[in-house]
Amino acid sequence: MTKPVRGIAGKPAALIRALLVEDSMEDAQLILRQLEKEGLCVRSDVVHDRKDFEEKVAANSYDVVIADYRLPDWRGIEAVDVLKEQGKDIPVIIVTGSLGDELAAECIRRGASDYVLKDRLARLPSAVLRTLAEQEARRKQERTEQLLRLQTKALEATATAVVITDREGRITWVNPAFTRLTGYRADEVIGQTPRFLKSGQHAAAFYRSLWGTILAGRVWQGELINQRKDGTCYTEEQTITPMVNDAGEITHFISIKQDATERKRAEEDRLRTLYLEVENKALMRADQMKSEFLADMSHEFRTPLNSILGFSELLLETCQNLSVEQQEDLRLIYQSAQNLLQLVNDSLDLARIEAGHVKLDRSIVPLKDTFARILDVFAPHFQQNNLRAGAEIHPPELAVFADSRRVEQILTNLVGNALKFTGRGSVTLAAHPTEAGVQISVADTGVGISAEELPHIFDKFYQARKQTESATRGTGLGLAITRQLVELHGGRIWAESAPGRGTTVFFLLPGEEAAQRARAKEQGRVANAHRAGG
Amino acid sequence: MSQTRTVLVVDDDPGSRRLLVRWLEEHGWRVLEAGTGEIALERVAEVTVDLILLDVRMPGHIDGLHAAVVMRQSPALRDVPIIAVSASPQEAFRDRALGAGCSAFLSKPVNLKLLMKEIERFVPTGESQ
Amino acid sequence: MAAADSEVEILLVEDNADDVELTLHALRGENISNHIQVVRDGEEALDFIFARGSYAARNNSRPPKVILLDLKLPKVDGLDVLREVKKDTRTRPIPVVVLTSSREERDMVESYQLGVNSYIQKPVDFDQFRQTIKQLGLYWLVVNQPPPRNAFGSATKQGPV
Repeated sequence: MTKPVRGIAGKPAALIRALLVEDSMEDAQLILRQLEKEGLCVRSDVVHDRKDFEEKVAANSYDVVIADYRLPDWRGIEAVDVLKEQGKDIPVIIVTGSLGDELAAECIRRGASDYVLKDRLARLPSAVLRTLAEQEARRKQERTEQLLRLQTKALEATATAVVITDREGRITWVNPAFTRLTGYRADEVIGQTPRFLKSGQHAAAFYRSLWGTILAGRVWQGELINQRKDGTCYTEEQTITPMVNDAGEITHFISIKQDATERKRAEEDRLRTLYLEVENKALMRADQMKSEFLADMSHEFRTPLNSILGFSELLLETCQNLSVEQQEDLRLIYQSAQNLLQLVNDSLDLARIEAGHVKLDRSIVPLKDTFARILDVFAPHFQQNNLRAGAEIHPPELAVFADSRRVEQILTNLVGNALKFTGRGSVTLAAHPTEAGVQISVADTGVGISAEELPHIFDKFYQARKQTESATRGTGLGLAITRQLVELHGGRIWAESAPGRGTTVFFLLPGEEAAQRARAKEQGRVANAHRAGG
Repeated sequence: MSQTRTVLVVDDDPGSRRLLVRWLEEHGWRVLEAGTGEIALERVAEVTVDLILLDVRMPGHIDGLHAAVVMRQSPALRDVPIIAVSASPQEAFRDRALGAGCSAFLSKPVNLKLLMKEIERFVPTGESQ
Repeated sequence: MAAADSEVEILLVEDNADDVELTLHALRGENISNHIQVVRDGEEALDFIFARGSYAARNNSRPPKVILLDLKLPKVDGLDVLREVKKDTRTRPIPVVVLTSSREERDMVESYQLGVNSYIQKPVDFDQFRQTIKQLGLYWLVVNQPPPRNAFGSATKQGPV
């Protein structure tokens, strides 16, 4: 026994557990000795009837069954059936004295792995080894096939779309998820490149860069927008992996796609909201800075003006020894300071309005009272210059929906202007409703404005050319502010005039019915805020 | 000879202070000055005053409004007229000043005659000036 | 965020984290560039551009193709960053694009006086913002020719360091 101990498929000897079905102990011994002679390491059991065989098989694990064909109560070939019944995958080798071709063929047909003649027992060891090797190979094959089936099932079942293309990009395989994602069936796309998915939303450079990456053997990962068969677009997250053979050449590309449309939409919404927040914050900050700036400016201007006005007034009032000239000098200082103060006030007012910092305190304002108040303030002027004042409101209870203080500011400016330019005659206030709102007018019989100047009277710093006396010179901002205030209310202002024939300034303000609309809107807004949990 | 009444002028701007000092002295008032809210509180603790003129917006730890609030807590000062003045936009500070306990609000530049009218309202003179 | 130093294509100078996220999202959305460096204040921006301070080890051979500059920055103000970049011959050719929410005319005036290459006011609408960024990115990284090496001055010709 100098033969080396061999095992299966040339591997180091493993123990072979054999179950012999043999009624002759002599024969059994012969078989075992033959196996050992060839260096096989065998542990064996021996049975001769079917019942024992069944029990042994059920109770133990065997690698091979070696059965005599001719047994007293049964045929060795039936061992194959028993094993099948018990679900045991164990090869059976029939050993027999004589068999004949037909029986031999039948044995193989019924499932025996091999048969060996008793007078050719020398064949047995190699038969056993071969049988076991085949079984091992078969099992391995089965495992591989099972794994492949599982993998394919997984690919079919996965929600992730998978596309396999050749090196030129032609599709060789797609899974059902691809069809679910794109709408294209496998048979529609095999052989084509994925070009048909292009949505047109990416520049050529984008695809060039993609190809460049994967042709260089690198994995490409990214997001792109594709188009389904039905024309709708969707966003996908794609990973393309080049498959390389042993020589390092690219043979295929595997692309994995996931529908990212929902995720992207949610992300976009989040970012859109975030952007609005950020912009609003920036605007508010800028606004706040402007507000603070204007407030500071106001304070800074008024403080020194306080001294100038105050001390000149003080000196005028209390100095006994001033000459007439000195008094006049001081008066000029006082007057200049007054003008400057007016300019500061007007400029800041205008700046605040333009910056959007002026809020209107709207209410229903009966024009009767407002007109009366204004005319009362200017009564001395009217008297001094012997001018008639008029107020015509039709219907008499007419009211506007506006900020009463600002309405007075507007009228003060317009009546003041009218008086400045009217030497004789009258200044008349009038109001009546129109479709566009309440139309108010201030008409004078003064010097009028030329056609070329008329379009500019509401410009900033516009001064009428006829102004000579600095005492009556305005800031040039009054009408600009007036226009802003009218427009802030949602109204319009314009003027009609002719030289020598006087001027009428018209403006529109919302009527009372606007109050109801505003109330309804406010109620709606509050209701919405409540609904939103505000 | 009418009794000399005392007024405390509180303003961080020296020009504004001097203006009021000169004006009020001309009208027979005894004038005390304070340049900050803290000093103002010290002064009223030392001396009895009949009137306080207070700039509501001053730099520093205790600004005018704060000082007004503190003054109103003290029983001795609860009924003393405090006239607030400010160079800041009227709308912004008027309500706050009145809310802090001030009796009236005037915006700078102060019309001196108007000031006297207001003072007359709160601290009437026995005889006209 | 940036690949190797020498590969920074876009230098984004922005202090607000939300703004950074939004701008990066817009830039990456079109796969315009993966080589974006973010700095969070004016001082860090200058350190990066001039390869000094915290970026002293940076390889300065290839400057960014464009600098996206916010104006309101801590430490060193955006306009000051612009001034320094355009004053020094070593960095003057680098295109600087101001990207700001500010609507102040004086910001625009001063930026142009300092030599800014482009001035962008962020649109109010997010989708428009993304379009703007996409155009901006494509223009400065693909269409525009970056300044060649000869355009940059040498160390000896620079202003005060």
